[in-house]
Amino acid sequence: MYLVCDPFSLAGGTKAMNGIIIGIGNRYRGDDGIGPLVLDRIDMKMNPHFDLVESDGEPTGLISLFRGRDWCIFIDAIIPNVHLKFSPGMVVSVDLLMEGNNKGTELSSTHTGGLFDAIGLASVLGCLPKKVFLVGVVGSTFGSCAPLSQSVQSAIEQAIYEVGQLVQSLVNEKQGGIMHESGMIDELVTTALAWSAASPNRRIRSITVEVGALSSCDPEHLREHFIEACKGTWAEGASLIVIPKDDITDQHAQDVTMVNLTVEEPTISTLEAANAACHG
Amino acid sequence: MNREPSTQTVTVDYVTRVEGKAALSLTCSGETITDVQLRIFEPPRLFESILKGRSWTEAPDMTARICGICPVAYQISAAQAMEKLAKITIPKQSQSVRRLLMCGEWIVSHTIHIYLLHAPDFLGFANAIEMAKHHPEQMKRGLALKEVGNEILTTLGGRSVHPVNLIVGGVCRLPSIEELTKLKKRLESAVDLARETLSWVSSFSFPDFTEEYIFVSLSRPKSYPLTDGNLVTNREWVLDERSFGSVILEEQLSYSTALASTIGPSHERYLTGPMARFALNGQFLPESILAAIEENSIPQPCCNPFRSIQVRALEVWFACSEALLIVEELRREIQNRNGEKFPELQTRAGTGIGITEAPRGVLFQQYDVDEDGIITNCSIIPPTAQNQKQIEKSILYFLNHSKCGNDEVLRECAEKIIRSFDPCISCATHFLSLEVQRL
Repeated sequence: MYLVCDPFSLAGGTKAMNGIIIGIGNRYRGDDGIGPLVLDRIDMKMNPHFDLVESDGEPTGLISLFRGRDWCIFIDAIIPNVHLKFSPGMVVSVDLLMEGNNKGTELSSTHTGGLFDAIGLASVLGCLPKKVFLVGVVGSTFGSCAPLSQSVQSAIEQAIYEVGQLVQSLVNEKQGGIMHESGMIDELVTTALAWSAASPNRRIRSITVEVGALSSCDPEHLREHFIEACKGTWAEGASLIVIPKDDITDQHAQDVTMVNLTVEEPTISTLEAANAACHG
Repeated sequence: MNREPSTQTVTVDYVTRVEGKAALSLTCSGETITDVQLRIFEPPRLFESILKGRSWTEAPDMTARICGICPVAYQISAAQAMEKLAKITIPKQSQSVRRLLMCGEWIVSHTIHIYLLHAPDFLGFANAIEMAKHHPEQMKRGLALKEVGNEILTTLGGRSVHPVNLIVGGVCRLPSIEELTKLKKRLESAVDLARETLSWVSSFSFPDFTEEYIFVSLSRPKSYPLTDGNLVTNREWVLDERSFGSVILEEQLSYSTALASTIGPSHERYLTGPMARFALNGQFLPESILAAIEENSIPQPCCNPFRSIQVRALEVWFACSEALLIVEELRREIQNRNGEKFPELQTRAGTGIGITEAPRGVLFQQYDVDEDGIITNCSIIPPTAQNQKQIEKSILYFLNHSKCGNDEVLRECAEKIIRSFDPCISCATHFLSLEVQRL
């Protein structure tokens, strides 16, 4: 028995998704620290196709971070606006590329420039990611060395959830409707055969896979493709055991991961059969 | 018909595209402007008081927080003051790392000013985003150049804002050969970007306006100043670091939270920064830059503040070339000697002075430290505080010279001349509201 924990690249050799989650803020300025703090909590649990980066929000620095990215999710504190009736601790999730949501300020100085200046400048320079979202948490205290306010503290879970939702919707959108199980299963069988080649008995009896919550894979489809892919190989007749996972924050949430591979016990007859098959 | 002389107040509530917050008050009598007050209303920063009672080794990290654009200059000035005081000689490689960090800071600060704050004035755009719509390639070049500056700061300093590597006695960490090799490649392309930047800004048209300035800068034998040197001026006063405090008079203006400096027995206004450095040290720039100065007909000394964008561009070029030389030298040194011994830090009582050329000019720091190593007194004179009175004089002169007419044009002209000096208001207290009083 071999245990393998090796996430597969995305199906059919498609390019890995290229997203970035940017936590903007200063950890030492009360509620302004919410961006980095949320980032800490999703670190290592988030999808591997998203890089996590902390930023002070300086616009030209943000533009550098956009390079080569398809998606960007910002996590930032929002200053309460009396006109909009935002209350501290409220979490909003906004598509920043939607008309009206991206109200830029004049780039008045690098001391006051920020997120919208970066988006404005990147947009005219044609280097803006295809999708840009903001998960904003309305803050109330921004003093030096101030702790996180109680209302923002209790909004952290909600902010993490909103980021997870955005990640899931972006991934689903990208994968939606694409029949990609076939490529993935080909890769799975090739990997399994490579492993079993090291064993005295090469015939594979079963392969167990965990199917991530964000992988958009249907277990029935996987089995159909598996039977096809195994024909004429040492895996022919093997069974595919599928364990569906439901944790979207798991680092392998987008993947189908092989966790177990069972080969037949080496017997003289199977060894002979194997030799015959090899030479035949 | 006789008109009664009227009093009119015009307000520029915020001067845009400058670092920090200030307002401007103009008093006009008829068409003539008679008084200018650059009112810096950012809250006083009180850093000098915060430093009193702290340990002498804390000064570099604490003063770095005065400015997010030029923290390296604050760190180096503070560290040098303490090293002089405690008679510490810092290792050669640490010295090189400091110079390299300063090059990074110059590249970042000047590039931001050229591309994001100043160039839109010459091309007729309200801001950098508008300019980028019509000049995207130029803006991309500016951002690429700034990124190289940031990379120097991140590689050598640990992070691009408020680096952490610089301490009294030297630096905490020397870069690896791999890091230097990577930087070398980036800097080679940056030199080309800087050369193109100078050609680009030299294609702008500049207002026909010159003034006479008293320039103050550091000066080194046969090289352009960066982190050290002796104080020099284009006047008769002999300046040295000990006399600087007495030749320069700092005064508190009732309308400003920043102290304003004057120089000499008759308390004259003076200018420090790129134009001063170039006027007093321009001949020491590398040959290739000197050739470009001639090719682009940049006057030396340059006494037209609008042309300071050219001077900043040639200083970016200098910083890139200098950084490249330092990187190559450091690579050889580190390869051959595998690092250096960090000097022993021994507390001493005394007075220490550190002066560097921050991107915006001479940055002076003086500390008194007692036998326990506690700071008992300190004085920090940032470049913008020194330039404040000269900027006021230039605003007055330029606005009268250019006969701006109505308040809207006046506001625009005032902002443009202020931006030419690249003041860092945050440093000086440590944006601009314009008030015009017509008498």
